[in-house]
Amino acid sequence: MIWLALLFTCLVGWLILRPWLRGGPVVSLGLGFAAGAAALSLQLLLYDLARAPWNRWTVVLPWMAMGAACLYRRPPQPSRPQWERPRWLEWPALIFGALVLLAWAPYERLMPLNEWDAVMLWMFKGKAFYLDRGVAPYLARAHEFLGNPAYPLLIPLYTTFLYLWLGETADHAAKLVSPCFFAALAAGFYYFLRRWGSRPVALAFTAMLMGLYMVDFVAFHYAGYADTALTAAVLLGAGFLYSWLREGDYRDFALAVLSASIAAWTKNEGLFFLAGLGGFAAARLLCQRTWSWRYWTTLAALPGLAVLPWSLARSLYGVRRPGQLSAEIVQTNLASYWPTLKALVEHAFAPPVFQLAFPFALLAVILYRRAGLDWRFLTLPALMVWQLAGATLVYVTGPVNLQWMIGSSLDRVLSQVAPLALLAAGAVFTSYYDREEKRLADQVTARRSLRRRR
Amino acid sequence: MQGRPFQLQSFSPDLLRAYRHRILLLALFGLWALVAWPPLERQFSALGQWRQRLAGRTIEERAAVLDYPAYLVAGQVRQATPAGACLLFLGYTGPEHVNYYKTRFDYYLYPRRILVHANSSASAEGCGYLAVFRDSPQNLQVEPFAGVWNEEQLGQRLAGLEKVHAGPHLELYRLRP
Repeated sequence: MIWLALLFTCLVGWLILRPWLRGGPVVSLGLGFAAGAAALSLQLLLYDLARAPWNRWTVVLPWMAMGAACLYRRPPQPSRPQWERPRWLEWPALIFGALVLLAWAPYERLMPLNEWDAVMLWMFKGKAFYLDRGVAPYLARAHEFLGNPAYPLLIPLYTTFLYLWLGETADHAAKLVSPCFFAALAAGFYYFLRRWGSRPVALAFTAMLMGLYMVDFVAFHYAGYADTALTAAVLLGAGFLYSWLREGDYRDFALAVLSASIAAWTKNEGLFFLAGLGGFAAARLLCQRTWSWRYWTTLAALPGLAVLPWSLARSLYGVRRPGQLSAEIVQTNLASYWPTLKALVEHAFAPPVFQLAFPFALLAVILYRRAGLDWRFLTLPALMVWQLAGATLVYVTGPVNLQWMIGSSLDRVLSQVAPLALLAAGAVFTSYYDREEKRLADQVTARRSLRRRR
Repeated sequence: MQGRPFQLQSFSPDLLRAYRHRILLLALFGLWALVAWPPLERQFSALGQWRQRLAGRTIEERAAVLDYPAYLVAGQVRQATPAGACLLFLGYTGPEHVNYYKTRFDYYLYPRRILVHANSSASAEGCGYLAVFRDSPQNLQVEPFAGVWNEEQLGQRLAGLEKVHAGPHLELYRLRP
């Protein structure tokens, strides 16, 4: 049953993304899952605000109607997926990727829900919302619990949707949500590199991403947390933004804004990402003197959908952040700012945890011009740095002790941007690789024509 | 040879130069795999160990093994109390574990109201149930009890109450009929 719910989620996402999607079934499924989970969770919140009942049919039927209308208006065109056998250069990546899955996927299925934040926060809210059939009763009692009631609700409400679908609080099944977002992350990562370059590089770097220890650890060991969902949304947002800068296609712009909005609906750090990406996109539109209503409507409507209903619900139900932010704490935390940055860099460059993702990104920033890329490439590392700056800002201004925060979450915060670091490296390498491939092909052609003339 | 420079007939500097980007891709990937292999190997080993410990058990049994004794205790409480109950846990457990058990019992027992105190004389207004929870010796060894506990006073306090459940880690009493 859970597989049907996950498949339904992908279909919901596909219905939403249909006008903007291009690319094969891999990216459609990956993006579809992320968008579908966001849409279904938002749907539950909107129902709650409108006092509409939550049950399987009230949630599913509107989407079924939408799907039927879509099929009636435009029946699916038969498509023949193009399949090309892997070349020898691609086999190591495929084997390595399979090994990573063999190490982590059975582990995730073996372990019951047990990790701290999942039990205290994300999955707990999902269970409470399901049992209460609404968000209000839990939020009214939020002061009794240790979790932060002000966090965005994508993961909790999507978990609630899964419980509504299953008819019970099956948390072991529901924590599959993290591996699914990991799949969306890998699909999106492969999609971008494949779109910007050739398949061997896309496969090799996707295998590297799959072998990124901390990303795996968060997706499979911390299954039930919101971090992997945020990681996927950040990567998709940055990737589509860069694609838009490269090609100027409105669809990429819309998907970038949508992904950043999903990030904001997933975790508080995502709000910072949305602000960065939205601000950059707005600045670019202004610089280009683009006044097209669809760009500006997209830039206002999608973030509004992700942020406003939850803001309304928070004020309606009187939700406040736990803890008191005092001048003393801020002063202490500010004094620890440089040690925080130092810890951040040390963690980022620790090979057993993040392998070579951040060193590769650093190399990419140094070499991007030699690889034939221009300033637009810098949006990828810039968004990464922006996101990390946001995290350190949250650390410093948060109402809790900085050292405790670092110890408990720094690796997870870095794992949210490590795929973006690797994507930046992949973008530079694929540009270099394709140029060399083209040179090689030109040489072969030239020598062949020389032979023919002889 | 001149007409077919890119077939692997023999190695030459030209050949290496022509294919350097592919070699570089393989080298980068190899380096990555080399760095990624030790943690991956550790993960395989962890998977093997957890399989030995958990395979063949139901998901509930696995949760009981991993979250001992919270999962078992929560199951006993759930059976003995109504969904709207309020429970005051007097927890003989380490200071950090107070929060741990609070979150576990909140999760497993929602929508019941849960209070956990490492103090045998703690009280809570309006709570219908009193649970005396004793952590496992292994947990107490890792984190010893550091609260306030008086067995004699506790015995007197519990004497007149209706016992709903008794087990190795949990004694549950009804405070009000």
